[in-house]
Amino acid sequence: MASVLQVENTTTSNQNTYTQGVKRPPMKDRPADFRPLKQEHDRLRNPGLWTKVKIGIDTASNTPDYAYRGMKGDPDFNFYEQQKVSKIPYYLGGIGLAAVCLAGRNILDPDCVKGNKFALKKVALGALFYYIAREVANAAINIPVKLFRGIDLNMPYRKITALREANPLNLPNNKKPSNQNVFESTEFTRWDLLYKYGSDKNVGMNETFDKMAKKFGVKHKQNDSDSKVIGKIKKLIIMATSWKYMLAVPFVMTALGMAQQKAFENNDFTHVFKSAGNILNNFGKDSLSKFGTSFYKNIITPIGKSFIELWKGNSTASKILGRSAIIASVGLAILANTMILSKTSLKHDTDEIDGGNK
Amino acid sequence: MTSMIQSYSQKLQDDYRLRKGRHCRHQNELRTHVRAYKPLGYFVETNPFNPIETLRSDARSVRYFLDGIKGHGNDYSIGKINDVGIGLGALGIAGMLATSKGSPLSRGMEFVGLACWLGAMSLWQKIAINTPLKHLKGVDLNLEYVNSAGHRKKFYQDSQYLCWDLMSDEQIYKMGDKLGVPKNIKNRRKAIENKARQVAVQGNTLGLLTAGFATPLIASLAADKISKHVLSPIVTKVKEAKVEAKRKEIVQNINFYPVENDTLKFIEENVKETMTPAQKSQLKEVFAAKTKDVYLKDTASRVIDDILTSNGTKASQVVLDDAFHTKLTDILSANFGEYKAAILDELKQIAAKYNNVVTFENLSKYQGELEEWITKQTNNLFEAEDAQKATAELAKMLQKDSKTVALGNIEAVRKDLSQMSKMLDIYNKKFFEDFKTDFWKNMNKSEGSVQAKMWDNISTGLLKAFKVDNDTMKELILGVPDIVTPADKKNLGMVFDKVNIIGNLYDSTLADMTKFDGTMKKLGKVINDVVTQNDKHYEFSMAYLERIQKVLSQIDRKSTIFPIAEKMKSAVAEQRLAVLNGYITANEAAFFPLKSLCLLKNSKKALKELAEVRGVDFAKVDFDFKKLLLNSQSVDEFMNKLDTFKTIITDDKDYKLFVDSIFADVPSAVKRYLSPEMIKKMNASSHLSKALLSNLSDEIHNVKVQPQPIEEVVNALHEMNLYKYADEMFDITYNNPELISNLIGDAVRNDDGKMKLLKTMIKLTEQDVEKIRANDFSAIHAMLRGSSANAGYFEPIGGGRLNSILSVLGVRDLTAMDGITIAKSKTSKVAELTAPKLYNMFSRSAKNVFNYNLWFKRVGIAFLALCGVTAVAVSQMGKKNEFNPDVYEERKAN
Repeated sequence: MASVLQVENTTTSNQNTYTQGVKRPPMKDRPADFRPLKQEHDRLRNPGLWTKVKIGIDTASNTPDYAYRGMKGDPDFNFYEQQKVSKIPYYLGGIGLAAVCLAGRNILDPDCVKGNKFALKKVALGALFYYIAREVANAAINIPVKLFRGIDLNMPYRKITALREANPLNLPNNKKPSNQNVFESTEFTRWDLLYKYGSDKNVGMNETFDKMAKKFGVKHKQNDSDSKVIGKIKKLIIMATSWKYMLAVPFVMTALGMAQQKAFENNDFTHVFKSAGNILNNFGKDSLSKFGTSFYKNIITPIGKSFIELWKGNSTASKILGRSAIIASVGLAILANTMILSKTSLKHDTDEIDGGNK
Repeated sequence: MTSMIQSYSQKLQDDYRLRKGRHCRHQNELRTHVRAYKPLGYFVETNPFNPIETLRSDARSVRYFLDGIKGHGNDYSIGKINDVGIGLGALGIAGMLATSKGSPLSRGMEFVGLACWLGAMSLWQKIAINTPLKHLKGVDLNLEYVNSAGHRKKFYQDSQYLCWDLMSDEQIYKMGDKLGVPKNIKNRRKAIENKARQVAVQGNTLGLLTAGFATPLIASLAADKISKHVLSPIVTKVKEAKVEAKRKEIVQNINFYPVENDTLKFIEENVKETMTPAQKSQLKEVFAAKTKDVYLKDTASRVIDDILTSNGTKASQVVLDDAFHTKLTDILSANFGEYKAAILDELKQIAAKYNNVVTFENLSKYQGELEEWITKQTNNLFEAEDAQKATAELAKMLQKDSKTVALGNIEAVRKDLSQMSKMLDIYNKKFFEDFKTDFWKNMNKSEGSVQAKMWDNISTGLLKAFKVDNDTMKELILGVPDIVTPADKKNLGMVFDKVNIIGNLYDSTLADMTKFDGTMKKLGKVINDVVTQNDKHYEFSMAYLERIQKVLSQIDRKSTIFPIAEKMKSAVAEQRLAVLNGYITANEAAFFPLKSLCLLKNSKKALKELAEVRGVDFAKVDFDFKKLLLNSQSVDEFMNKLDTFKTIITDDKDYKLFVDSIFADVPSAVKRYLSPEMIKKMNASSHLSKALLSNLSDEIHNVKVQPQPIEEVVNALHEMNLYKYADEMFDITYNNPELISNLIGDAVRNDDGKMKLLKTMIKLTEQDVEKIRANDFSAIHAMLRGSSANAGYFEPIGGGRLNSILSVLGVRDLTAMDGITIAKSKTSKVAELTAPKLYNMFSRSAKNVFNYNLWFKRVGIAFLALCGVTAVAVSQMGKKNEFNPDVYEERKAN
């Protein structure tokens, strides 16, 4: 649940004093060299949607910089940055495929242009559907896990990486922030960020884990809810990630199958964009409703139709394959969630210690 | 628990100390008796091309997945699952795309594409980046190692965790030499490690940045080449083998009377004296299941009705008695009873026309008339609501299927049904399955079929023979729209320009004798290939279909099952037309360029020779000859007119001499097709020759012939069709009144707009239409035989009237192709290429080749540019920059 985890306050307490008992001039009057450095720590970020959008934009805008530093061979170039750079070929591949298709267009030959437009639409649609299907496959695991276990597998935290002294980037304090996932790794999960410090005698330290334990099915309040839950979460991360990769297979098959159907042969995507642009020009009920109709006619209807066409199939083989892809997508998603939820349940918990890593 | 924590923290401390050096380690061992684990990591040899390794790692990944869904695993094992997931996903996509494709070639291509994609993805980095890096800088990014936990990883995968301790000093220094790290510096090993890390980071990043471009480019280039040189020939070979096998099978099982006892038994058992509606529909279902050709289904059902009713049955009649009329009148006047008597009177009057009894023959007519009357009188004599009800009730009362039938002559019915069953068996097995489905499909339709390959040969052979370069191709296809009608003057001019280009091609070929010889040789090869293939299948197909037609013709005209036999026959006849059409168009297309070339080159010489033999003045003969040539409608006509060219060609011997010298340059392998006898049959269009000649020869203008107006040239293009088998085609259609009558009958019955055209075309009177509705084709037969007032409308085929009628009826107009209007075919490339016109041939072939070359050029250039950028980037790796300042401290000499 979103409310379970709250942002940790990272105010530093020793800002105004160098040594005790001596009154110092206010901060702004001191020479620059004597100002204390603001210490920044790794911290959780607000798990809301807006933060995630901001993080997405931030990461995307930083990726060219990562690529530049990688091409220069920066010793501080780390694995996280390499992974972000590896998103470039992932998306470029789809665009490249469409570009190769477009390369066959001969503008001198109207027949060729027509055929090419048709083929290009199919290829571009296929690539787009591929990316969407991958995301949907992830969501098919993430959403139930968040609902029933209170764990946001994409929970972001701000990581501060120390760079080497000689790094020419000249960042303040030589530290570089980035946004990473708390539950990304099963071996290096950032449990430390989930504890709550600060209050008297750290009474509420396990607050987050208490709430999680409740979601996991522990009935009574525990003193060591963290040690109860951590093993299960490790297990959950392993299972969830394994299933995500495999779930992508039937989802992608279904999506590509749908993209091939006749339903997309006659719709006009450009019309949707045009009517959307029209809203900006003359805002009003009329333009909005026009956009709505266009969106429904050119996007919603073909998607629904293509799904039915895939289910019906145009030959025995396509019927069998289409249906098995659809059934596998739904069936495996249900199986995956059932397995994850049943294996990580603490409802019938005895005092057994459960280490996730065997 | 406490002890566990203690031992763990102890171990951490120990490990820390161990890292500090040998001295410390030694002390440690003395103090605590705890030894560090010996590192178990080691390097592994890798071969990117070894499939077994890939399979093994995939198998491991599957195991990791099975563990993972149980909750066992670690970051390493989970990461490995993704690899096999991608592979499986790609396979699934390929399968999904393949099932939506029609032909085996495109189905196979999906999997080839998948393999190329995955291959390009894994091999690009290894070959284009890692291999040169290894040789230039000594840093091997392919290097893999197994760590102490048994995980196999890439050595340079994470640049911040490099296990340098696995490498000996010797290996490191060797690398350092290649990396250009100075020798005489402090802590050289560390410096080399840093430099190698820089190169590794650069190499990995370059790999990621280029992969997005490289994968689609390489995959599409490789898939294209594999499709062209591997898959497509295989598919064609398989199809050819299938066609050949089917041909042999058909020839061997020439028995035309397959006995299928099930239906006969069914007829014996189920056809009884009286038949209930359920029994009737069961009988119809049995026959419907037998009738595999959709084209016959309606007729089959109708014929069964006829068989059941034609043998003296009485129950099928509907008597239009008083009760019948009262019932209808009651319904009609339910709301508005004022004209009740009038309605009854009117109804009776209509019934009287039919003698108060309707049988199956005139039932629908009566129903139609009554319904028409009801619509006419609605809101006049009765309300619209009642009229609707009455119409529904009428249909119910006249419903023929709802009546139990009492069969008159049960033996006759059984005999007819058995005979129909036998005929259907023959048709289904011999024609529909064996020929149309198995043989002809592999032969004609779809990519990679025998004919598709033939057309491919012709079009590429043509361009190769004339050495058409890229610019000429571009000029040929530039700017001409899909459809050009003779009225479209602007575009016609453009077409004329294109013809000029072809003329120039001919010109340049004729100017250079070595080029001419090469062209002839290549064209000869194309002809030989095409004709050999074509002849074999054509002769077999025609003879076979004729045989089927003969068997089907045994049904007596008076027999009840005649309509369905007729329909079967016309289906076979249509198939014969299709076979013939394919044969003619392919052959003509293959012959045409060669013949026109020979004529252009040799006609003058041949004339001169002949003139010498005859002792006539050449100048005069030449003038006459050119006039003859320019006044001919086609080469066919020209060649025939040569007979009348009495100045010089007096007998067959002269003709032979003339033809021989015209085709003197033709390669010997092809020469047998070009004997004078064959020539008389098979001809090229002189219209094109005319167009060409007017470009080629200045002398033509000296003859003071008016330059050809564009329309005429276009007409020439229109009629470039060759009438080689016109007679035969005429036989099939003209001597097949059943085919035409049936088609006209269908049109009349459906009354779907074709009717109006037909009525004006063949002047059908209302009476004729009525007769045709009642399956009486005598009017049409009479017309076709020329014994009616309408006879004039069926002139010989040259008039084109029958053709236009046939084209209205939906039969492809075979003898008059629609000029340069490019047939918009939905089916295949084959059909598109079947227009045997030189301009069309050139432009079509040019389009195919040019478009492909354009794509290949663009993709190829993009790929080469990528390779260039990659090579430059690789060569710049490991150089000094702001992140790697390369500050070395010189080692002081002792």
